[in-house]
Amino acid sequence: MIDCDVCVIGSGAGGGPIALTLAEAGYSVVVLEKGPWFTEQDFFKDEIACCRRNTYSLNLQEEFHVVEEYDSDRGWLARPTYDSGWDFWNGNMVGGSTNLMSGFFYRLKPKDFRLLSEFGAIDGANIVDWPISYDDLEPYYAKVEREVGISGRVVNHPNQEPRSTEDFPFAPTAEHPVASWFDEASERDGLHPIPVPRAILPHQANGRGGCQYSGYCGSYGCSSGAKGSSRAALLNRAGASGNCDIRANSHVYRLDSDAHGRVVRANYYDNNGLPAAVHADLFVIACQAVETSRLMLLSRGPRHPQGLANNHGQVGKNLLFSAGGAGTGTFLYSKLEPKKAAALNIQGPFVNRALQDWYYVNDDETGRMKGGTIEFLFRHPNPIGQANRQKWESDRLLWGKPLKQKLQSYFTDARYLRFEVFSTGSPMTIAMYRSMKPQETNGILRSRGSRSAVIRIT
Amino acid sequence: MKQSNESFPDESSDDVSTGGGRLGRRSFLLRGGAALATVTALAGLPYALPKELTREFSFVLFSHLQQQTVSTVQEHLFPQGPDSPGAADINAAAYLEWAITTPGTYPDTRNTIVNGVGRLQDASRERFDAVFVDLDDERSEQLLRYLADKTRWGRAWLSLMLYYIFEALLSDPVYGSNPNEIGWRWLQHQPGFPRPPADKIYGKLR
Repeated sequence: MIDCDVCVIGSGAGGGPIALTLAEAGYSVVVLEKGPWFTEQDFFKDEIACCRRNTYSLNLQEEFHVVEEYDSDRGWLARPTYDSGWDFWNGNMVGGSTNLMSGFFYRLKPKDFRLLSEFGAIDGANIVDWPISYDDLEPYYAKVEREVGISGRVVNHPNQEPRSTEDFPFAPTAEHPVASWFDEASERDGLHPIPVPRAILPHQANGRGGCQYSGYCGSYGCSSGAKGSSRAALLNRAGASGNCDIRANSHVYRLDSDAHGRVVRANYYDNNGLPAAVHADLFVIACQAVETSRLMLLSRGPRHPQGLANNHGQVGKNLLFSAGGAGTGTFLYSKLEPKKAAALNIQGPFVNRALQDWYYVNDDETGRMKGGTIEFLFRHPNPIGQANRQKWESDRLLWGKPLKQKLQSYFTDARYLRFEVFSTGSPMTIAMYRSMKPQETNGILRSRGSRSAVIRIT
Repeated sequence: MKQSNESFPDESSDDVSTGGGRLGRRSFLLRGGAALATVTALAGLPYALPKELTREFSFVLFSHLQQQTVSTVQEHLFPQGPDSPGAADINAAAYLEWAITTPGTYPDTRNTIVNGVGRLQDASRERFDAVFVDLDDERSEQLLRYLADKTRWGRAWLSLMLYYIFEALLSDPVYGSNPNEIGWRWLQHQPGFPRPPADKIYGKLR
């Protein structure tokens, strides 16, 4: 007895594209999503609900992770997230964390697919080349840009990857005046500023609204549908095809496999907390790195004694991070001409600029290595978070008049332009940060029942 | 509670305060209603302003004396200035009570706040043989500074008390805090939009 052709577990960046593609090809699909189904009518610019409480993540007392960190003096130290408050849930809802993303949609570059052969091995890390090349993936990059609706503008620069399409499907979103200052300064220094490819529609299209430029984007759900979340851009269409049944509040806890090793059933708790199951021909697990591994490790069967597809003990190992760094430039209004100060103070549009001049680094000291993308953006406008960072003067708590003066100065004297470095998920990259080398011992070490995973981060 | 909004944490939790002059002379508008000094390139969307809740202390967790203690501490930490709101102006005490009694609040957070009030009452009797609300400003400062600098619990408690003052100052007025956008106007903060209606605030979304 089969309920559907394909059962997709998770509805975010991994599950959405698969569900839509299969549903449009005529397959019957069931999507099981642990979180609720929020829509544009549920998303508001409310720092309390968005960012100060667990609206989009799970209660850490009930569903926590245990993170082990390496301390050079004391060795491996484990701490549960309900104690540390370090939240590893990125957005539990239909569409997953793509609802809350900033929407940077960069492609990898050809060399990223063969880091071992291009840059060599790194001691202690187990790098391999991808089994596929950029050319194999290029048509799919083009498809994703079209289906999700990416805005941007292709410009020539030394690290521009080859493309089958001339430009992005949509023109860039409205840009802040500071973007032109940035272009001027970059060009003067011989750098190559690029407009950011972004999953945000600049105007109404594809049944979705255009960006409203409220200035609150990353971490917030989009109330116009402009943000190309898996939900807004893909799953709504999958549902409309008539072939895709999306079940929210459906928490899969184990996959059953038969004597041949084939997965035949997904067991889950439904909307009412009652046990339920889906039988399908094929199952797709798309719950991000940690939860996908956890579900596989929890799903033992006659042919999978160590968990699904784990006969080599590699499931949950080799966890990769996008290493990076960040910094901030402070622009004092008092140092600018009044016109420029007023322009700097405009809220809403994106800075929309990045540099890839250091995408690959050839440095005397470090040699050749993978670098990354440097993204430029204003500091997030959430005022409560910013105010809270002002209460310390070195390690002394401030209050009273000095605190109020510091708050007033912080909020009204300047604007803060940040840069964030994304050394996108490659072992070579991470090796730049010696403390974050990926090795076989990284990743999830073991699963503790259905409620927690152990993550070890070096 | 979730603390980070950006892809990477800020470079320092103790951001450098900037000195120097301001962008023009701000008129602080306690009487309300005026536009912010900031401008929006693309504003004017058809969203109604949410109705503000009124919030009053309900004494769910605190006795009368403890409520007065909370209010006194908050006003000490965040006093009213000639052109800036104080803790009472932003409904900080009632807001704090709501914040730590809402379902979903971690018991540790609530206990830190509640126990801190009790310990302060103890400390005040021990040091000055007086209830905290009767101390003059100098003695209040002396005691709170001692607790913040010399005791672990005092430091954690006062840090959390300040955090909830910032929430009361800068959250949407729909929460019964920041009345008439008094905190936003003081710090020239421009809120995002659409703003939350009363039936879709935290606790009513799931």
